Amino acid sequence: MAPLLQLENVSVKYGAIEALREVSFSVEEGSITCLIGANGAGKSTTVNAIAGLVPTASGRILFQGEDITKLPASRRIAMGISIALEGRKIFGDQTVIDNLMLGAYTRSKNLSKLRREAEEMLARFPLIADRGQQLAGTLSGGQQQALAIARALMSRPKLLLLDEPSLGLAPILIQEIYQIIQDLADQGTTILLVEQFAAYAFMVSQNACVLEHGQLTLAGPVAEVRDDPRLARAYLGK
Amino acid sequence: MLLLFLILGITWGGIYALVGLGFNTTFWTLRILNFAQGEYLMAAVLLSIGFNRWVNLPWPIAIVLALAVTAALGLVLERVAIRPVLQHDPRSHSWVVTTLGAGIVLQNLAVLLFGTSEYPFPKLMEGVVQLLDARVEKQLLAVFAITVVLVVLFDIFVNRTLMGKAIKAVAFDRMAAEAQGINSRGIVMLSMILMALLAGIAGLLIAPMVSAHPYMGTLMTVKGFSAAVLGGLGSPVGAIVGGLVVGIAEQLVGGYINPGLKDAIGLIFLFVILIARPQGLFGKKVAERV
Ligand SMILES: Nc1ncnc2c1ncn2[C@@H]1O[C@H](COP(=O)(O)OP(=O)(O)O)[C@@H](O)[C@H]1O
Ligand SMILES: [Mg+2]
Repeated sequence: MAPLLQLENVSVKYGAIEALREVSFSVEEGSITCLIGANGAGKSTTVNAIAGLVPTASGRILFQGEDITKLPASRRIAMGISIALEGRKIFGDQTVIDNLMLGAYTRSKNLSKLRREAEEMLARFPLIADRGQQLAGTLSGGQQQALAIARALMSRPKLLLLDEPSLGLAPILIQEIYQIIQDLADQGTTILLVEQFAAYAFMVSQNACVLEHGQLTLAGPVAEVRDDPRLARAYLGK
Repeated sequence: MLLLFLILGITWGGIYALVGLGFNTTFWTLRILNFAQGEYLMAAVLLSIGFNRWVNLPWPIAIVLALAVTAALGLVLERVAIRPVLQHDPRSHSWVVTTLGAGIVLQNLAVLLFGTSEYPFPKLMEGVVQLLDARVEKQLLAVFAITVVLVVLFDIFVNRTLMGKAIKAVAFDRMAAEAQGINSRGIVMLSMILMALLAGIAGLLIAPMVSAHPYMGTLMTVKGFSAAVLGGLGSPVGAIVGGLVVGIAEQLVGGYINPGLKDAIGLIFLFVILIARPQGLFGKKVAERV
């Protein structure tokens, strides 16, 4: 069976800076694949390119075998790709419920239907279950991360892109967020998980990709990548 | 007399509030202030007159068509005077000059087409009503009623529709909004259309009271801006309260102190608030986002 997501020689440029160079990897349906690498390696650029938030300079991105390289973000979301951005990026001046409803923006414009769905989604996240009417900007870091993931789920994605969900969180909260990620995977959501620190990601992932200075240097099952000497090198730099 | 001054003040204040809301819409989505706003007010009025006089369209059709053209001019403004500036440098403030300049161009075009004479504009309603000791023109009450309806509609649109929430989302974080599938470019266009329509309708409402001419918009830019800043940029409630404060104050000052001070009072409020409370009455203190 073809993989759910496939990158073929994807390059991304920010002006003159080449942030990704000919990156190729794939994500199997029903798995968690982690994308790890040092700060500035190009992890966010990769998932943002998959989500359609930054343009690809060359190469192809295939989703369910279909070329989505040139599609706008809204079309990709409608097809089943959703992203929880690095730094959570919740809408701080709107309520938790409003944030969730906006997550379903491409799917429906019917407010009462969306509100019902947002409340159902909220009930699945104990961290924020009773915070529906609170302004999202006043939530704690862990709650904001839970909201970011819940918002990304509102579009009912087949592929969920999570960019550093543990960023800036206390260990106890990281465990809670990772429990959520594990639960989502158990329910069949395919996840591409970006982390700077591999230890957490390895606990839940089946496959791992390692980025180094915008290039993919290592990929395979977690059990193999974990013990590969090149992994340490990716973090220590050349 | 006090009652009449208050009614006049509230009605004019409502107009300033509409223009102030227009300032807010583009401030939300683009983080810019559109100083051509008053000229959009003038454009809607003169275009209506043009369509009525020269194309012989009946007033309702002339007005609808004029508003449509005004909205289209709003999109043109974004394309020629705002987008290039922000594309070149998102933190540039050159839009102060480019929007002001676009306004002057609009004004000069209007002078070319219409000359500098004043044109009468039809009232919605003729006659006066007696309210306690004040004889109030029905037109004034109609303007007031329409303003209230528009403000309520604006509030419903921004706060009770998904599109309104999407506008706020784009204002808050463009990339995060895009990540939800919100087309931020479309939202920006929508905000330009809203700006032009709010200004245009405000113009159509005041045209019968002030008579129409190419220079009618400039002072309205200043007063709408005062309303928006007084209330706190970005706050719709602020724009409404700011508009009412300016509107009532200028009637009272003009009526009881000196008519010559009428147009200055809004600016005096503006300077005082900028010194005492720069974020405005209802504004939130925001650190410049980089
Ligand atoms: N918007 C941008 N403009 C210019 N350069 C960028 C931008 N975003 C990221 N970069 C650069 O691209 C490279 C990869 O960044 P990023 O994808 O954020 O890395 P990571 O997520 O792995 O930390 C870095 O060198 C970074 O400085
Ligand atoms: Mg990153």
